[in-house]
Amino acid sequence: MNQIKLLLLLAVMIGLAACQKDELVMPIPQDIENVSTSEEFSWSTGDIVTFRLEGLPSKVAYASTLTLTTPDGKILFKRLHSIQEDFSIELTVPSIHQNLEMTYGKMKKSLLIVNAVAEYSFIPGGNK
Amino acid sequence: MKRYFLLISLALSFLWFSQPLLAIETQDFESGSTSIEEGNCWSFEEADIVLKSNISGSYLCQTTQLNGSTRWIKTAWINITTAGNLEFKHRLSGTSGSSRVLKVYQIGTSGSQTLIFTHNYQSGQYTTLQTESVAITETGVYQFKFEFDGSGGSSKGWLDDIDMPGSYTFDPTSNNGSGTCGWLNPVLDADNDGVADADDDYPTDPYRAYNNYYPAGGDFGTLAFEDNWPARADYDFNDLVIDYRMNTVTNSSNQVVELLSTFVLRASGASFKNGLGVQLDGISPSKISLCSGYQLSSGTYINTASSGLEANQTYANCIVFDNFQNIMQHPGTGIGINTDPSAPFVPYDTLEIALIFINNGIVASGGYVLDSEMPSSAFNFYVISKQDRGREIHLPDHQPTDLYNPEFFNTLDDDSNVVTGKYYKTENNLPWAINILQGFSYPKETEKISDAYLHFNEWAQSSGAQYSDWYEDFSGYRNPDKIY
Repeated sequence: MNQIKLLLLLAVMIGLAACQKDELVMPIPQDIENVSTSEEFSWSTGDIVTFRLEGLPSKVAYASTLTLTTPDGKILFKRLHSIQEDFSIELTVPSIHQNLEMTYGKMKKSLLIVNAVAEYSFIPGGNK
Repeated sequence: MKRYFLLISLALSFLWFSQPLLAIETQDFESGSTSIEEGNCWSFEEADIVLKSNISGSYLCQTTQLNGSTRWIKTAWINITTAGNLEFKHRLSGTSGSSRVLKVYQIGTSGSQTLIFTHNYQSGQYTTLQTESVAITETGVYQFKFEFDGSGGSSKGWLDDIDMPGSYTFDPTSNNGSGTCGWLNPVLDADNDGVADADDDYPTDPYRAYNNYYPAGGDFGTLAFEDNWPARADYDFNDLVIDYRMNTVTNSSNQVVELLSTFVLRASGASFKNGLGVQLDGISPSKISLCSGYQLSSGTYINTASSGLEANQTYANCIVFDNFQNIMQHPGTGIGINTDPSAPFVPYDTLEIALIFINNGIVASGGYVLDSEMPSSAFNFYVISKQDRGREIHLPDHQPTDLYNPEFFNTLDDDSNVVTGKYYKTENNLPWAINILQGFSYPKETEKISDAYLHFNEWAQSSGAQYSDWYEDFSGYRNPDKIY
């Protein structure tokens, strides 16, 4: 009796697995001439990432060097930045990276790139 | 009488100006935000800035109920250079509670705490506004801590309008996220431009502060072009191969001082005579006083202005060279230059291009350009094919310059669409140029890039989602027989 139950269970499981939708796998063309890409593809090994910084309302004029680097330590950008200032710039980040590293005075932060945006707020609690 | 008055006035003026100026920092909590003040290195234990106008302004700082454990507000670090007074206002929120006390401590950088003020709230005067002035005689770097304590009842401590006899000297970048910070230490700045020597790429030059390289870290990227546009390419991406490195030099005001570009001419698998230009998208030519280092042939088809930039362009254009083959000579055998391994190797040539925006502090006539106004995405590289000025071939989706010839668009295999911003792509979105930030060993003549780089098609077909490292020399990534 138990064997019958086991067989039935197996049959149901196989049946369910068979009903799962196959993932759509696009064949990769051998010849580049048959390749088709999305219209947004840039054909560059770097992505344009917007870096956004929210300043801290402050009565004190504090400025220090803001440095943005790739996770492997290559400097992307530097500026003298006032902590009060909101700031935004487009950077070209190698596509292999998912993070930007930010250094500001003694502050070091790793910022995740989400939808081509990396952002940080100097206001405590202002970061998601 | 007038003389005496004058003498007295002079004496009073002398006395006034001979007194050291007393710096005062004020905290009235009108930012309305505990988080903002924590960002400014104030810290709060069981206390918050709340919307209440009971002391002055719209906000004050309020503790939670005082029921046996202390609640405190600690100021940011203050540099006290002259004796003065610590002034503040306080009261309680209500009349309930068996005992209430406010103590103020002066905290040194060593962590030592000195009690400098105590107020025991008397029954019946809990809600009476108290205005205090405490003499501060010790100079140095200090914090002040306002500590409320009490038991029974529900009344809370209220604090507002704090004047401190000194100047803030906190380092907000050392913030632990809840207002605990270090104090500022003096930094060396030899050129006095506001950038610490340790961070300054030009520590003794007040006109320059930072190098900003593209690609990152000062590496060389590679631009690889097909020059048969608008006809479909053979996809060996070696018709023009140029390594590049751009350095945007900025000053301490974050203005672009100069753009120093290095172009290494490596290969030309083309029979066409091709040039190379770069447009700075969005940057007016009037913002640049000089372009130098380019190489144009005598009798060139390029029309330059007195600045060295190309004339008649809305955005600044520098033509790096107008004919590759004038700079690197064909070796005499084989197809192209440095694309056929059977032909002699022609040494690479390097051109250094300088675009001057600010010359010894003097800004170009069109005004300055901020760093954020000229990001790396503004660098719009293009080939001028067949010495036909209008036949520009740009990286995909990069707009042509004012001098392009629109008649080539949508002919043969080109599927550009000015309305949607699709440029220099085929119907399947294949390009005539690629940009490899990490540098690139290009294919031999007539070898398709997808035969040389075995994951190139997966990268392309996935629109970059797969094999974003296709150019690497990892096992199974390359067919070296197809690479020059």
